[in-house]
Amino acid sequence: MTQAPAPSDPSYPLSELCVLVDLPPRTVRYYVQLGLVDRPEGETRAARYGARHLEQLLTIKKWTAAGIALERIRALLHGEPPPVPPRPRGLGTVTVCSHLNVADGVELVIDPGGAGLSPEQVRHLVRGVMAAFAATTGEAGATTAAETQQPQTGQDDGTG
Amino acid sequence: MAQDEYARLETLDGTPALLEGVSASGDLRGPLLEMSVEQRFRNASATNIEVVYSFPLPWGAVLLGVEVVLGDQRLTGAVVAKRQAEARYEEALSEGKAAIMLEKNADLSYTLSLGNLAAGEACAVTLRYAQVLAFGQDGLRLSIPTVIAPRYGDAVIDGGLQPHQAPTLDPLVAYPFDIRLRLHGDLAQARVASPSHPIGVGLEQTSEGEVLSVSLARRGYLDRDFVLIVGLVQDSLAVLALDPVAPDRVVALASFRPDLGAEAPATGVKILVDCSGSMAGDSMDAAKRALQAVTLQFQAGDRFALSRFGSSVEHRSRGLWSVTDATRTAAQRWVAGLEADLGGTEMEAALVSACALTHEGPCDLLLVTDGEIYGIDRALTAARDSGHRVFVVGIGSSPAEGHLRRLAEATGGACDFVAPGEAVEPAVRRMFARLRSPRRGDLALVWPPGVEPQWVSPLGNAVFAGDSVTAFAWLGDTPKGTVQLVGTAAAGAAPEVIASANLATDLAANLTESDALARVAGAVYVRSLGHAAEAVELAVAYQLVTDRTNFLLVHARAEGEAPTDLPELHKVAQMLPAGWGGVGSVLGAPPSPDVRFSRSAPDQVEQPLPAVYRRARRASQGAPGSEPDLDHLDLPAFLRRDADDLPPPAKPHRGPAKRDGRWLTPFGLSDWLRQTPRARWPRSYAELHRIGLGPWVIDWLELAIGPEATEPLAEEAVIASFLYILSQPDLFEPLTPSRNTRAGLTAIAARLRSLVGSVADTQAPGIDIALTERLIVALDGITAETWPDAVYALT
Repeated sequence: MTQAPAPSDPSYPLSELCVLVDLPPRTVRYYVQLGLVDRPEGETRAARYGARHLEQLLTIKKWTAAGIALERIRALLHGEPPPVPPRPRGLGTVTVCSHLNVADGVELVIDPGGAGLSPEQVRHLVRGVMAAFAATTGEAGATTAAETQQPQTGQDDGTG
Repeated sequence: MAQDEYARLETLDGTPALLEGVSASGDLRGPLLEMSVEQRFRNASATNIEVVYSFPLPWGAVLLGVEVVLGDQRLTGAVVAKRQAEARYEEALSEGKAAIMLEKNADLSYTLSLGNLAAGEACAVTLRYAQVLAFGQDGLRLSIPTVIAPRYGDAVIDGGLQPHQAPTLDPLVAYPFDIRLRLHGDLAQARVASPSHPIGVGLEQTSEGEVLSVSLARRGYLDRDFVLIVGLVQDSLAVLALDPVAPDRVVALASFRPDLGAEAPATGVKILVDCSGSMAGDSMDAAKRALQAVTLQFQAGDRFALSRFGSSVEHRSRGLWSVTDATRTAAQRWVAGLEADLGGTEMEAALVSACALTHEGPCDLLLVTDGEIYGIDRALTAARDSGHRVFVVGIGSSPAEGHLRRLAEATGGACDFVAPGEAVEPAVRRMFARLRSPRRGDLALVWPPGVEPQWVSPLGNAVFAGDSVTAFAWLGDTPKGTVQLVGTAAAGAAPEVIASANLATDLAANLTESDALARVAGAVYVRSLGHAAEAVELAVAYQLVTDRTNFLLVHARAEGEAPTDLPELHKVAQMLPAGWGGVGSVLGAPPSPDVRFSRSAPDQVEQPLPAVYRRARRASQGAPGSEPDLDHLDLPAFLRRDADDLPPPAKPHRGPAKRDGRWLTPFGLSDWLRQTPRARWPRSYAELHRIGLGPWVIDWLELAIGPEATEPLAEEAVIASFLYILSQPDLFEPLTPSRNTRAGLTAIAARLRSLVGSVADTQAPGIDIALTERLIVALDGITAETWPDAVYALT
């Protein structure tokens, strides 16, 4: 990397870049199209790539080898905090989720800790889902049913 | 969980993919199916785009040609070596030309790249392919895949795909699909049905005679395989064709219907069921029906084992059960309780684990799965190394047929499929006919005198009564006479004739007109060459898209029309397969867009649900907690449950062994009995279940021990004896430090004998002495954490 030219001076054609990162041209172009790698300087045959592109490609290569989805990589490259692995669930951790009954066979599960919704927001969400369900099934009088059938918020699953 | 991030790799401007629809039409003549599939694309956006579409073709399909209509121009391309095609495609794009490339992927799917489709431009790509079909015992099951279902694992790392080839999924897209098939010759008289789509059929008179025309009665979508069942048994036959590459060569296709004699030897089979998340809903339902049918196929002398897998594998028994009423009932109960709750699909580990179950004599594996994984190669290697034949019942509206057929083929097994709503019994019956079918080795063809083929396709190592075996050969001249399929019953035995087919004498009548047959044979030959350099040359000569050759078409644009910038990428996302993972049902409700994936990224690996949560859900169904007098005595749920995801036991020795999962261990039961007044002890099997005793222990008591009891109240007597033994301090104490329990059992037995004759004994009220002694013998080997082998063996 010490011999890499300054970022302001892109000098590699695509073929050289592909040799440097050991990726097929199609894959490099694919990453450019997805926005994972910046577009080259100059279009078509005159396109030139620099140290910045090289660095981006090597980062992507490292992350994909670790099995991280491209969509996630794009988010990371665009400034999201680096992947902090979620704290493994402690042994014996108890998670309590609310199950909101939207209709027969349709349930909305909310983990309050993760979702961070206020009670008003939860009500709003459930009403919206119920309305959407009613609209989907085309059931007449679904709104009144939704009014009367109050969601059982706070139903505790974590017995034990 | 932001899991649908994985599902939607959108274009930069967020516009949807632009596949307008797919129409297929085909002709079926004898075993040869020739299909033509038109894919229609339109660029409605304001910029030039590159469309990338990955799609499946049927197993064994040979791509013969691609025709492209771009705007109003009809264009043709050619098959060239892969590297060359890729380089020229890139070059064409960078020069602003239109380019179309079709490549075959590592997982046998195909990817179409349609570069520089100008704003407002339409493009229709028509693929022609041919396939030699294998007729089964009952006829033909023709399956045409239309969608690649979400698969477990990483497309690039596990599946060997290039990043742009990896299929993506969008639950909200819908692509119309239409298909029309014409059945010629004898097939026009056959009964046809489709379990996947409503179809209309009609007889047409053509110059070729009567033709049976099959088409969709309602509009279809690219969300499930098109399946057609043709109830016609095909006899052995041989067809000849001229070769377009070598005009002096005659290509012969021989399709045999083997007759192996009626033998029904006892069989040993390990049943392995996929209980991963993708099996939920319709697939699990079909799998359970299939397995219930399997339990009815067992005969005296058969041996079997039951296992299920997902992220982990769970065996119902420690070895193979012989078929008794007890084991059959236990199997049916086990099947009825199956749920798709084991998360991912670690098929390789499951195969290894199931194969490692001890068995005597030859043993096969029956795998029930949808096959939706990327890492099939590793699973395949594991299965082949184990020496088990793998028989597969593929489940679902779009199973990974190619994967499962490869798995079966590599191990000398066979594959059958069941769509949602399709009757499972025929597939299961066929599968058992194959399991019991006499084995034949050293398969070979015997040609009429004077005929010396230049090449004969590999015959594989599996032949089953009634399932067609097909072979290709290159001959120097038009042959006459009969070609025979021979095999040996045992190593070193004399070859016996299994089937024979007539080579018709009239060349002109027999030679098929199209070059499809010869090119399919060419594809088989190219595949048999493996990595030889000749393979690329021949694939180009026959114009076949293989893993080392691509179809390529480059079209120069007129001056001034050529775009100069990189085209926007539009990846055509797959539809969500009908009924996949329990999202909606093929038979019922409309699909919902909420999808979960088995795995998307390491930081999003599906977390098993918290144990307490799951236990609580279970409890709400079985309602042990609603029993007030048991409530305070019941072990806390999270202490009892111990799958991989579970907290370690809070107290020493209370933690059950992994095998025992969430259920009471011997120590746990013994401890509970010591603390609980006798009046509250369970008296029925249902109550035993309620206090958390594992189903295998209850099954054992009910099915293996129960029938031996002579008293009228067999259930109560068995339970009383069993709990009596477990409650004795003689047993409890050695259980505590996991010491030898035999001494304790012996002590209980000795005291029992001293009680014989004494009436109204206070220590062991109402205990059947003989029964208790029987139980004591059976419980030999019990430890604090595990039940003895007799429990799992149902003896």
